[in-house]
Amino acid sequence: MRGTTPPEHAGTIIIGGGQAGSQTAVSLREAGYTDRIVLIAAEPYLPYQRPPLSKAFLAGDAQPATLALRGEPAYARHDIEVMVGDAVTAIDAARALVQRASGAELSWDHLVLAVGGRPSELDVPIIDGATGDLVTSTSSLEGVHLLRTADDALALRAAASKVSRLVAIGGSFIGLEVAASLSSRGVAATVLVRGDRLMSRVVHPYVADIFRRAHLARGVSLEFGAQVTALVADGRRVAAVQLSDGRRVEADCVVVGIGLTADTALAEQIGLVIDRGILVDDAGRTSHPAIYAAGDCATRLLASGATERTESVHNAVQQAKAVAAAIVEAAPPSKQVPWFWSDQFDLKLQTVGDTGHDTDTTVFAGDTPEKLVVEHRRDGVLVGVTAVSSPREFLQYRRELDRSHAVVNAQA
Amino acid sequence: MLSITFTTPEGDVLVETTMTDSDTVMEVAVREGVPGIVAECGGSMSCATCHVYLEPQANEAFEPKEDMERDLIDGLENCSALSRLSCQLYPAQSEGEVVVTVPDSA
Repeated sequence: MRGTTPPEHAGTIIIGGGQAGSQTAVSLREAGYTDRIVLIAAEPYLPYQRPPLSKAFLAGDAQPATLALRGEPAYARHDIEVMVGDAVTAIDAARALVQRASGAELSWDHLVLAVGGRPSELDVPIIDGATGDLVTSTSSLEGVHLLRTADDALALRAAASKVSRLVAIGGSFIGLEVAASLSSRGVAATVLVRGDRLMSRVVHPYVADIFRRAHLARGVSLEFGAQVTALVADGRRVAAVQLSDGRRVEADCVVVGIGLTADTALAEQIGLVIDRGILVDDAGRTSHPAIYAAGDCATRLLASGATERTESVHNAVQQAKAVAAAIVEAAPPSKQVPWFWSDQFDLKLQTVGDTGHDTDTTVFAGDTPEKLVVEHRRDGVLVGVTAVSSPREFLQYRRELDRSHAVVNAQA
Repeated sequence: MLSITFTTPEGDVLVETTMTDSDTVMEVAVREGVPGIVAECGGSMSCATCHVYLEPQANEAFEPKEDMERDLIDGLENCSALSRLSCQLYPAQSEGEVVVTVPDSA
């Protein structure tokens, strides 16, 4: 019952228990912010790292607690209150209140949305394997997995001990990492690739081909030009994946890795401007002056008027730092060149900067066929680097790019 | 339990705590929120942002360097003979006291 006592107040409320949320909280303290900070995380864990969920965590047997970005002592040291397992169900922007699932309202001066996203679901019919009939039941098919949370990864890990044929739908990072991690657990894995190349949106064709050969050499099957038209059921369980050209790939476990959709539900409810994600400026401000967004859920409006949404640890950290600086009205943090990594079997892929397909590239072979560095240039200037299992070279290039980037910024 | 103290290069104590056999030094630093240990890639040897210095005696408390760690350290600007990546510092002994120096962050 709503009494006359005002709701509890926090200077800054951060919604979301991922990299961006945790970093915003810590960066606020590091920037000298002294008001109360409350971080609300829907999942029952302290904010944790997601990249290992498809990599080492899936291949190994560590517990979710080992994924924590920071431990309780770290939050205590910074006087950050973390409320786990409590979702925000509604925001009242006019009264500056959030409503929590647990019932309690909290008021804020600054609100940060670091709510991430959810994996895109496969929108195809389910057909009965024996009769060919459409299965009309709306309940989901057993054995079909999405991967975003620690609990998703635990479920997939548990399933891996009971299944023999994994099909990963999607030839990008999630599909390939899951195939690699689960084949190391002894599961036969097939990756369904829509186009004719792996990781085609982001990786240089030469590099994509190294990964193609590496996966094949380690026993992963790759099906290119694979357009999924249906999931085939055996009773309530998935039995195969049907492709448009008639191919039917048997599976007792399917992982769908076809992209991420930003979680914009709360933002839409209060009328924030959305463009595939919550639209923000360089400082992470949304279309509401006291509400910020950072990480996978945020779409940045660039000076050119174009927009860009980036899913990476680096981006989450950078945007979180920018938001913290804006809240304390400090100078924006210096920008680092964006970087990204993926681990697949013993191969490590790392990219930094602009590695677009339209760059001029020079390939430098390493001392094995599975090691190389690609320099990406525009108008003769180094703008990005792709490295395969060459972490030392990558680090050196990354530093070089950060340095030249800083020079460009200083001249701007 | 191994006692572990994180200090600045000037010797100022950042954090004092203990670690178990199943921890890496990076995991302890992350749990405690030791400033300067960013650990951006979570220990997958992609970023080298968990770089620390260990005195030779303290080095004996941990598993030795392997090739990839050595390689990555070579790529660091402020590397020295004492450099280690704390994500690779698995305890080799369960008793004792070690001091870990966190480099100045740029």
